[in-house]
Amino acid sequence: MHILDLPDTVLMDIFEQLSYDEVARKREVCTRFNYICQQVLNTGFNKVVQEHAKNFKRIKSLLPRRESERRNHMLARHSDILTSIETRISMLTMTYSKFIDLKICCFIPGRVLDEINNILKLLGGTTKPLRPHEVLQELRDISSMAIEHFDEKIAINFKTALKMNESSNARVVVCGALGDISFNGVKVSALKKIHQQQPMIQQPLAHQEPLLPPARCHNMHCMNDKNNALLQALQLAKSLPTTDNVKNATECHCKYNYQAKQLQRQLQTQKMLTMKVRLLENSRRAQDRRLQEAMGSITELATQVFELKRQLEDVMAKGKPMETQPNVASGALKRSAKTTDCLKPTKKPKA
Amino acid sequence: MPIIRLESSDKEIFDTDIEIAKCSETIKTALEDLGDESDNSVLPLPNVNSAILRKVLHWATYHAQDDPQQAQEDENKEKRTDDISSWDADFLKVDQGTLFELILAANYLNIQGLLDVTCKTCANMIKGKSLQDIRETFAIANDFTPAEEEQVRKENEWCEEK
Repeated sequence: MHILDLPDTVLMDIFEQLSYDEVARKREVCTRFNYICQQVLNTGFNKVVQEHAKNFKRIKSLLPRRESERRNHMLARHSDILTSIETRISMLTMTYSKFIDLKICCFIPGRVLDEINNILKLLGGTTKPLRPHEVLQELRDISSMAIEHFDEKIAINFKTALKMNESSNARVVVCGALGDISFNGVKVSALKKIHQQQPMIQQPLAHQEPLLPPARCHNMHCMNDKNNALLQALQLAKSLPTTDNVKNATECHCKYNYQAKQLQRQLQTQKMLTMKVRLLENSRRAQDRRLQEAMGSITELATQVFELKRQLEDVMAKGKPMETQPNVASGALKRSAKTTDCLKPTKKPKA
Repeated sequence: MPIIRLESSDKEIFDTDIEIAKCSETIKTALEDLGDESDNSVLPLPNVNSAILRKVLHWATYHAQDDPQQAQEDENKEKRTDDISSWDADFLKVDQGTLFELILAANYLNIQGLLDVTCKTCANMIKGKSLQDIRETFAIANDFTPAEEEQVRKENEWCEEK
């Protein structure tokens, strides 16, 4: 009996006994090992996330409700460390999870899982205050290394693969500052048309929104980049079938099947990605709208304030004459009184 | 002492103490489902041959007195493969094929203790070895295409110090 005859679950049990770092390294033995180890690493990541959540919940339940008391509590440092780990986990999730979901890759850095597990174990084993910086340093180092390497060296290749698929999916999405214009079912032959259309679409957009010039410029940039990339991808896709045919003639069928399978897989992943992109763009559009609404209400409020100010000034202006009028009146009265005084003596002699 | 009759895939009958047989969760649930009517009836185990079943029962007899509580506590402990008892280590000094069949049997019969110790033994054969050593130990062919191998190698490159 051979080791590769064992079922997947059993092989996963065996690899579960090793550290995740070692699991990651053993991927290179053969394709079956690679597949099994990828599963182990992915489930390992999920386990770590759950384990962290469990620990965090436990520590939070032990801490007092008041924040001021919490800061001086014995377990305050524990909570700090767990918060930092949470940040790291979400960074890792952002980096890897979409590619894991698309089954393009697995959770690569096994060593990071080992390190998080070590820290969680340390936290679970002691109630003494720990030094967060010392405890977290290694995790910070290696998780950043892993994420950087992945973004710079690994994900780039995935992205070009994804772009290739975008073209095969024949859906071109163009986003502008005001909204999105998407072309459904555009064929490769219609490529030039799109390219010519674009400047026409962009120009009206450019004139319509003088409010936010920097944002628009940036979007235009993005748009141009995206278009260029798309063009390249489309051209590549165009050239692919021919090379495939040439290869078919010379190479064996299995390779062709493998390629076809991979292409199909990429197609599926692409479909999902476009969905996500559409979703994101919708939300961005909604945000734009909200922003505009907010801007509108701000200007409205500003005019209201201005008007109120003017009214206030008017009132103030009216108030002054009102104040002076009584003085005049009283003066008039006094004067009239004086005049009566003056008149009286004139009357007296008469009497 | 109540007895259960286990039948291996090659039709050999093993008269076994029911308490020992119950270390297998599979047999335990089968007995619970059957109820008391199972007296003297035969329980067939079509996935285990007589040589392996004999070994499994040997292991189960030795470990019959183990505290199952302890095994559960160990679940949360860190991964380690060097905590195999000397008796188990001797018991598992067998050829690779037998070891794998024992793992399969432990998996099928759902005997957690045996599964753990056999998996650890197997993991020790992988642990700390170079890729080439592993391929030689288990007679595995490197079936990667050069591009695939390069991809995996590149993915693992992140932790190499510069």
